[in-house]
Amino acid sequence: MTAASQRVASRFRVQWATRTSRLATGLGVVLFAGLATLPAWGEGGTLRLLIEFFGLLAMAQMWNLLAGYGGLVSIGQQAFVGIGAYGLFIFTDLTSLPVLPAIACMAAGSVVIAIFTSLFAFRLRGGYFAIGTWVIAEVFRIVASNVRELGAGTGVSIASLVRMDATERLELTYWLALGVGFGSIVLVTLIMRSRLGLGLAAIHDSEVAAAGLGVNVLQTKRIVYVIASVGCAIAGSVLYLQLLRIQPVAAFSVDWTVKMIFIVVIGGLGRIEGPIIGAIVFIAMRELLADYGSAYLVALGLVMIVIVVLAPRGLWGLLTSRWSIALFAIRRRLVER
Amino acid sequence: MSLLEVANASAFYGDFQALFDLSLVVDEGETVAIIGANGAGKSTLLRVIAGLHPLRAGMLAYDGLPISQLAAHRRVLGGICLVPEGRRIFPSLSVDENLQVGAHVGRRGAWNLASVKALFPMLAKMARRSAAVLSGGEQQALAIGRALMANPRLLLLDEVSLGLAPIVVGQLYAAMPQIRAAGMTTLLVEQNTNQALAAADRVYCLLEGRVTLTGRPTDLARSQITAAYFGF
Amino acid sequence: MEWVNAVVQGVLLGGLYALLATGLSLSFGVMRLVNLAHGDLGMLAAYLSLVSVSMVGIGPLESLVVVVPAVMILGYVLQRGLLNFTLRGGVLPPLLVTFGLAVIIQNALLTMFSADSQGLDAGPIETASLAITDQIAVGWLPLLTLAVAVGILVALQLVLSRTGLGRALRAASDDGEAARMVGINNRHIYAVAMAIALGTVAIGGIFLGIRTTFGPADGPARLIFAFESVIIGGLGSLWGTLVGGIILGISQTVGGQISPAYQLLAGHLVFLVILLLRPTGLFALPGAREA
Repeated sequence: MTAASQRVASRFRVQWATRTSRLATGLGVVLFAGLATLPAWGEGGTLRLLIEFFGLLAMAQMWNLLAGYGGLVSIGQQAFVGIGAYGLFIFTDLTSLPVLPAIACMAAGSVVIAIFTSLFAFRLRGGYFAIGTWVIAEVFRIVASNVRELGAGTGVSIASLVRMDATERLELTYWLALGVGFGSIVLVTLIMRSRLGLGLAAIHDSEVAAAGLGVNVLQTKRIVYVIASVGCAIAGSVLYLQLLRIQPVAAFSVDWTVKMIFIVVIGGLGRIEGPIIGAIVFIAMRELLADYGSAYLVALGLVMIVIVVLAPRGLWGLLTSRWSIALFAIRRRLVER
Repeated sequence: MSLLEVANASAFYGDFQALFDLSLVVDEGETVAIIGANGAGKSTLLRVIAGLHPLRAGMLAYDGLPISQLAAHRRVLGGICLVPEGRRIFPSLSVDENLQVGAHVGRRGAWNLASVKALFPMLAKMARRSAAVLSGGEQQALAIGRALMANPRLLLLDEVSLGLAPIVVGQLYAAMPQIRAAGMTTLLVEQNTNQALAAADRVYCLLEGRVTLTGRPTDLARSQITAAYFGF
Repeated sequence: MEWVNAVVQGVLLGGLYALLATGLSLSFGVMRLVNLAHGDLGMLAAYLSLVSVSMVGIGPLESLVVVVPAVMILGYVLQRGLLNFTLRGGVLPPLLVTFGLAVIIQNALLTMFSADSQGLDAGPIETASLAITDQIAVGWLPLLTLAVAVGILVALQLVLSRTGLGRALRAASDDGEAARMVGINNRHIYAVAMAIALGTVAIGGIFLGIRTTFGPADGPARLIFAFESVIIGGLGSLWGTLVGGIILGISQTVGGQISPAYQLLAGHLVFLVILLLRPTGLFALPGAREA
C-alpha cells in the first residue's frame, strides 16, 4: 500500500456489529443459559421436543449453508444423518468409547466420507447434483442394510446407551442438542464472516466473476459441502442418542432432507434467521396437524410451493420486508474511526 | 403515420438507467441507422422495441397501435423482427432448419427459403450443415436470413458488422438494397459509422441513452457527427 | 447360460428405464428443468390406471388410452400454470417447487390409497413368454415394453427432426431468448415439452406397475433410475438415453444374478463409476452441456 492509501485506510475500520445484532446476541446468550438449566425444572416431554427441535435446527442450518449460501441443492443429506447414527453405534458399542469421544471420532470419519462422496457429487451440477446426492445416500442405505455387523436390514439398537441411566442420557442428549443447535448458528455466522463466507457470497452472485477474482469456486463449494455434511452427521448422532434404534430405511430416509428443506424454505432461504423461524413453524404445524396423518405433509408441500413462488425469501423475508433486520452480524460495514 | 414511434422511452437494468426519455420515429420503407459509442443504449433500444426488455416509462407504437405490453413473440407475429447482437443462431439446428424456424409465425411475403438463399448464395451451399460450424460472416447472413423468413415489416439489425472482417461486412451490406427494394423498413444499429451512414436514409446518434443528433446523412457534417458521438 | 439370460432380461428392462428417462431428459434439454416429481408423476399414472381399471373394468394396457392423455394435459397445465414461473429465479426455485410437488403427490397417494402394495393385472400377457432357445425365454410383456420404448423414441426423434414443433423445441432448448425472437411462444413450447415428458413417464409408470407391485413411496426410485439412465447415456442424446437405460438394466440384472440384494446396488455402482470416469456420459453429443 502506498503511504497515501494507508492514510485513507487508517481512517476507516470494518465494523460488524449493529445495535440489533448486539441485542440479539445478548438475548441469545440469556436464552442459552436459561435453556441449559431446563433439565433441572422441565418435563421429560419438553426436553425430548427440544432435542428434536435443536437437532432439526442444526440440520436445517447446514442445508441452508449448502443451498442458501452455497447454491447447492442436496436431497441426499440423509446419507450423513445415517452415518451419524451408525457412527455413534460403531464408536460406542463396537469400540466402547464414551459418548463425546465417540461423536468426535464419528465426525472425523464423516469428514473423510464427505470428501470421498464429493468426488462423485461434484461431477454434476444443479438438479442432477441434487439427484446424485440422493443416489449416494441410497448406496449408503443399501450397504448398511447388507452388513451383518451393522444389523443388516433390521438394524441395531445402541446397547451401551440403552444400559445408560435414562435420566442421565436424556440430560446429556439435551445439552448436546442445545450445543449443536446454538453451535450451528454460531458456526454459520463465523463462516459467513470469514474469507470462505465472502467467497461464498461472491459465488452466489456470479460464479464467473468470483472465479475471475481468484476465488477457487470448486474448492469453496467442496469445503462447504464437507462442513454441511459433517454438521448433519453430528446432529444425526445427537438425535440417535435419543432414538437409540437405528434402522437403515429410517436412518437414511429422505424424510430427514424433506424436513430440512421445508424448514429452510418456509423460514427463509439464505438467512441465518430463516431456519430458526422455519423450525418453530414446522414443529408447530406438525403438532397441530398430528391427527391428520400424512395430510400434514401435503399441507407443508403446498405451503412450500406457495412460498417459493410468491414469497421466495420465506417468512423471515416477509417479516423483514419493511425494515431490514439482521439478527446476526455477518455484514461488513466501513465506518470512520 | 410512422410505422414505428418511440416516445419518451426510459429503460433500466436494475437501478441503472440505460435510456432517458428517448424519442424516435421510423417511417414505412425507410432505412434508419442508430449510431453511437459502446454503452450508448443502442442495443437496449432495439431490445425494447422487440419486446425483450421492459419499458419502464414512455410509449411504443407500431402502425399506430401501442405495443409496449405486447409479448415478444406476438410482436414477431405483427411484423417486427430482430437480428440480435452476436447472431444468436441455433447451434443444434442446420442452416436450413434455422431458416425454417425463422418462418415459425407463418407470415406471408416475398421471403422464403428460395429467395433468402438467392440473397445469400453462401447459405444455399450449406443447407444441411450444422449452424454451429459456420464462420462469423456466414452466421450473420444466416441470422439475417432467419429474420427475413418471418416476412417482417420492420427489420431490426443489431451490430451486423461486429467482429467481422471489412470485406465480409461489405458483402452483407451489399444485400441491403435488395431487402430494401422488396419494401422493408429497417432500423439498424451500427458501430461502423461509415457503413451506417452509407446505408441509411436517416440517422440518429445516441450518447448515454439520449439522442444527441438526428438528420439525413447528406445534411450532417463530419464534425457534427463526431461531436454528437463523443459528446463534446 | 443364466448370465446370458440375465443380460437379455437387462436389455428388456432397459427399455422400461428408457421410457422413464426420456421425459426427464426432454424437460432438462428444453427448459433446463430437472423435475424432482418426475417419478411420482409416473406413480400417479399407475394409480390412475388402477382407478380406471376398477371403475371401468378395462385392462391396464387399455387404460393407457385414457391415462396418458390425462397426464399429458396435467403436464401442460402444471408447466404453464406453475413451473414456468420458477424458471427465471435461478437453480433453486424449480427444484424446490418440484420437490414440494413430489412430497404432495406421495402423501396424497398415501392418504387416498394407503401404503398397501398395489399391482396392475394385465392378464395372461404378464407370464406369456417367447422361447428363444431352450434355456432363454423372453417375456412378451418386457418385449412389448422395449418395443413401445423404441417406438416412442423413434416417434419423438421424428417429431424433433422433421416437424415445426420439433424445430421450435430444439430452438428453445438452444437459446430461449433467440426463440422468442423468431416468434416462438416459449410459455407454450415448454408446456408442450412437459406434456410429452409426462406422457412418456406415464406409459413407463403403467408398464412398471404391471411388471411389479408398487406403492405411493416408489416415485423416488423411478426418478433415480431415470436419472441414472440419462447420465450414463449422456446428456442431449435421445438414443443415448435408451442405451443408458439398457446399461443400467443389464447392471441390475447381472448384479441381481450374483445376489438379489445386490441388484440395485450394482446399478448405482455402475452409474457412479461412469460418473467418475466420463461425466458427460457415454454418448453425449459434442458440445453437450455437462449435467
